[in-house]
Parts: sequence; C-alpha cells; structure tokens
Amino acid sequence: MAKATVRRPVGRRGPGPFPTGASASGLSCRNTLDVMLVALTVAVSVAALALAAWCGFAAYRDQPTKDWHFIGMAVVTVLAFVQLVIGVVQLARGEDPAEGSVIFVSYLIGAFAAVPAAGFLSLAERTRWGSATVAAGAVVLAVLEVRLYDIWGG
Amino acid sequence: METGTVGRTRLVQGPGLLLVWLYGVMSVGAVSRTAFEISTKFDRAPLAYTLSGVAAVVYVFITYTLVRGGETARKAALVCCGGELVGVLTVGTWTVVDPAAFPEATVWSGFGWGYLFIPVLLPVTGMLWLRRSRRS
Repeated sequence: MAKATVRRPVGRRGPGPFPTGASASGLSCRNTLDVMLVALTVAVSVAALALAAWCGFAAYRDQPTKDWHFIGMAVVTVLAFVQLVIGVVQLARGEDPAEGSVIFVSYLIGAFAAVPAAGFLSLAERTRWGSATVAAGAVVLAVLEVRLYDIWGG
Repeated sequence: METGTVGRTRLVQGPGLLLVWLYGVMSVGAVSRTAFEISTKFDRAPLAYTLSGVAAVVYVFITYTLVRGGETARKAALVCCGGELVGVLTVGTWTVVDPAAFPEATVWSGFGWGYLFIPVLLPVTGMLWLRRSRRS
C-alpha cells in the first residue's frame, strides 16, 4: 500500500511542470497516495451519509441502535482510520496541505472520532434518540470530510 | 434505565442526548478553532477571534451543566442558552450590518451559517428542552 517511494518535491502545488489550475479533472493528483486520499474522502463521505440515513430511519421508526448499526459504524470508522493513516503518511513524505498541517491533522482526528463517540453515547440511550445522535454524528463526519477536501486541496 | 440517579434531574436522556452531543461538537469545534486562531494569527482579526473565544466558553459551560444535571445546573444552562441566543443574534446581525469589522469569520458570523445554522437553532431547542425537563 505505502510502497510508492517516489519522493515528490515539497510544495506540490507550486508552479511545476503542469499548470496547476488547468487540470481537467480538478483533482490535482500527482501520486497514488494522493489519489487514495481523495478517493477515501469521497468514500467516507458517502458511507457517513448512508449511515446517517440508516440511523435516521431507525430513529424515525422509534428504534434504538442495534448490532447491525454498530457494524455499520465500525465500517465507517475503519475507513476514517485508514484515511487518518494515509493523511499522516502524506505529511511524513513532505506533502503540504493547502491550509496547513495542524488544521489537517485536527480534522483527520475529529473525523476519526466523530462516529465512535456518538455510537458510544447511543449505548447508554436505548431509545430512538440514541439512533438520532448517531445520525447526527455521521452528518458531522460528512461535513468534516467536505472541509478536509478543501484543507488538503485548497 | 438505571435508577441510581437519586435527587438530580438527568438532563442527558432522550432528546437531551442529541442536544448534549451537538453542544459537545460545537464545544470541540469552537475551542480548537479559537485556540488555533488566537495562537497563530490573533492580530489579523482580534474582534472576530475574541468573539469565537466567548462562543467557545459558552458552549463548554452549557455542555458541562447538561452533563452534570440537577436543578441548579438546569437553571444555569437555561440562562446561558438565553445568553447564547442573544449572542448569536447580536453577533450575527453585527457581521451582516458591518462586515468591515470582521476581516475573518467568527463562529457566530451570519448567525452561524458556517456551521449549518446550528448555532442559532441550538439555544432555541435547548431552552425548549430545559423548560420541559423541569416538569418531568
């Protein structure tokens, strides 16, 4: 996974061989990990929204979070964790997020923690409101992902 | 539900859990944002960053009172939610009327549009919940 050892120069958004603004895809991807990071951002967002809809539906039907919901939370959390690892690896390789590494890492940690924290709260609240809280946590995660995309790519 | 909570009104139950979760998220968001802004670039927009700090303190305090529970905490939270609403409306109006005073955004800019308007909705739902939990 992390075998891409081609070291790119620091400041990938500088005036390199490619005109930065003119990339047709809009995703200025210069290496595999960069592609993975963007792909994961999209994947986590979609998964988070699906989880929000699912738990929101459970709340609507007056049901608490059940085993299957927790499995769903686990999947989303694993995705967010992989994103956290790849993000940190990217920083270690000398890549520079558009809005700075402190903000980038803070958001990565927040994104990783949001759903487990809400899931933990829902363990003690065995009513529809536990499900509603997890749904809210998943929406928070989706919003964090949108911000992460901006923070990384500018 | 456990019955070991003698004497203290539990505020974190039912809708209160969702409320405390949102207040918790806003606390973490506002505190970390303010800490970053004040420590790295305070000179750029002192007013906006100070107001973010005020918002952060309010969020942390309300979260704490909600988690703690009890009648005193309930009243304190109720007063703070009122203050929070006044703060959001004042700062929100201020940023709309006089944008020049805010070279950078603050948490309550434009009634909290940067946070999906949660800052203006939270105190209202908070006050409704806190008024209701007195009777139960």
